[in-house]
Amino acid sequence: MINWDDFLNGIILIATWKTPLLIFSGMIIGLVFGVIPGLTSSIGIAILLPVTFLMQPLDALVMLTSVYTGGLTGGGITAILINSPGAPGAIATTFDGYPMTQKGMQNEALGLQITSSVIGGMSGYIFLLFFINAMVKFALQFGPSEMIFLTILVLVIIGSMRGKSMARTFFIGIFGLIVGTIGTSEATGVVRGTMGFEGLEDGIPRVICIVGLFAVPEMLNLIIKEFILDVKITKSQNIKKLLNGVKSTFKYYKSLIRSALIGITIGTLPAAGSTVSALLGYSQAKSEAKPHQCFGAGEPEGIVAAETANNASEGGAMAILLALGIPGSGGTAILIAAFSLHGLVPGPRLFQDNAAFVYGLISANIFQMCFLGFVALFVAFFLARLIFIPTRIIAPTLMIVMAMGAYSVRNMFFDIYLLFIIGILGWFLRRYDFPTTSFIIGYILGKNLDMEVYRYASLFGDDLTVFFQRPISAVLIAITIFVISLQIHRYRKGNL
Amino acid sequence: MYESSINGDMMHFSFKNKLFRIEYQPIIFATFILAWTIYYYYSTINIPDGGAQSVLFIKPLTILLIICYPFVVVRSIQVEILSSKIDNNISKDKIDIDRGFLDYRRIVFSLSLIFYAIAITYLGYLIPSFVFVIFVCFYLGVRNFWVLLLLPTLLPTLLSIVFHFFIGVPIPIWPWSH
Repeated sequence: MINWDDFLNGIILIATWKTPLLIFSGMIIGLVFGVIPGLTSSIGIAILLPVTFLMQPLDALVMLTSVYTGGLTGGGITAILINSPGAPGAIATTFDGYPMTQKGMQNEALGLQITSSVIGGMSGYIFLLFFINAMVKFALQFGPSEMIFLTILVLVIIGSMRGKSMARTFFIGIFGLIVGTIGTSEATGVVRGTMGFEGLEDGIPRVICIVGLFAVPEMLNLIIKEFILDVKITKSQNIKKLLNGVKSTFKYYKSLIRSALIGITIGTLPAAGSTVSALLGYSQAKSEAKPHQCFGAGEPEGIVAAETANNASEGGAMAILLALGIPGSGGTAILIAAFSLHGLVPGPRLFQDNAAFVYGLISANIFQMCFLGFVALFVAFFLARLIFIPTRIIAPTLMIVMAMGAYSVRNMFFDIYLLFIIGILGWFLRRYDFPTTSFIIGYILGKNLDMEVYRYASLFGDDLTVFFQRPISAVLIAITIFVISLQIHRYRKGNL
Repeated sequence: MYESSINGDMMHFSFKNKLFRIEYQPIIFATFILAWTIYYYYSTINIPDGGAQSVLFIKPLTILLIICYPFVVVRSIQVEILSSKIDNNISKDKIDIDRGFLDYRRIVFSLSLIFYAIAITYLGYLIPSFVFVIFVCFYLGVRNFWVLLLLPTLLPTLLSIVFHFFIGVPIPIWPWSH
């Protein structure tokens, strides 16, 4: 549990006039990066890194984690307004957020999204504060066999969210896993599937893939419409509706609690990250939906479940980062660079040597969440006006922003081509009812799983009994079989 | 009796009092994916040093994809007993047809994206962005002079200043910046 002396020393470290200023500026930057398709909080952190070089380590990290927090929430804002998740974790927010926008309920959706983000993030960090040691012990149990079956379980659960056909969901999920392995194999050093393009040797960058699959197809859909909205809405009552969204979040307290727990747990698993958390949170809420609820067509609870899990995973990812030095997400991977820049190495020794520093950082992150609500509401209020711009102006405008964003990932022209090609592929996926989400999950997990399979083969050869001998992997297998049986049972009963 | 038609993404044909509806485009798409995956597997396994070890994960996935493929195909075919009601549905489909990627606006937009990407490589960011925005806006129906002048001029300029000079992204701005 918590060490109160170190915690109080940590509070003293952050109790300066600079802290609110750093949080506010970092959060605004994060929100702006989060809402621009093609840019993520990871890019924001990377860009700000040199700027923080002259700051004190704690000040620098408070500012950079604020960018990270702002980016996670900002990604949800564009997910709702233009169906383009500004951050990977906001994928599940598009499922119900964008349909709400199409119904003219974008302000309520933004209110729900921001409040859920604040509650999710806050619960994640409070949990981190109290249970960091226990969580770290649990995450340490995960070896190759556990990671393999966790991925299979995730894919099976995602399969249960299928759109038109389960076969297409699995097919495209498997293809996503295969695409995730493109590039240089970390295990063998062999360059695979690049078709001679040097730009693919490090694989397809996540930012390019996610923006390409979500934002570009949306532009292709938008150009045949007049406005983003299918219905006419009035420009007034924005604040009132935004606040209505804030209030109605609390109606879904069960989803808030469930998704917060899912987010925290998944966030602690290396590489699983906010995307998987948000999708699992959403999937779980959907599976327990009441008959009148229509998930995928503008159900408010869908936003609450996805955003709470998305932001709650932040606490879990930070736990793994601070205690083990392992990134749980792209943003925390760049935060490792920030630690290094200031002469700190995240890991067990950081706790032993600088416990007050760690507690100070966690406390500052909790403080950030209080700011987040106000700053994000302010930003969202102005960004909600995006939908009144005709699509014939939005589409070309966003495309040149995305082109610049794509180039800035690796400073390569190839990434602009890659963005547009993936975008066209994404349009076909959407058109033919191959769920993009299934592909993305496979793609995100593919590279790590490839490494885990290699590790497993090196350690155990072709002995598959190891899966059943390790308790966590055995539990994961049991859950996977249970979920598959449930799906088959539902299919036979004609409920699917 | 045999009758066939292609309507959007759906191909219909009737045979022996049964109506077959086939979503043929997803099948073609899935076939391309499968073909590329098999190419990917064989191109990797044939790499002399370490190729065989590098397909440990790809091999089972390729097999799974091959197993899933027939299900994708079968689930894309619907068979119904032919009746006048179904005939009515077919004619309704014809009215609500979405031309998908054959919609000329999508074709022009996609081609302009490709030309834009190629142009940036040779002409820098500013000029292609100006031309791209003005062309797409005009093509999609913007006729306001000030929008057509200010948007393509100010936005790429602003983005160039912010990214190139403030953030330090080394994207060439002009043709001679390469």
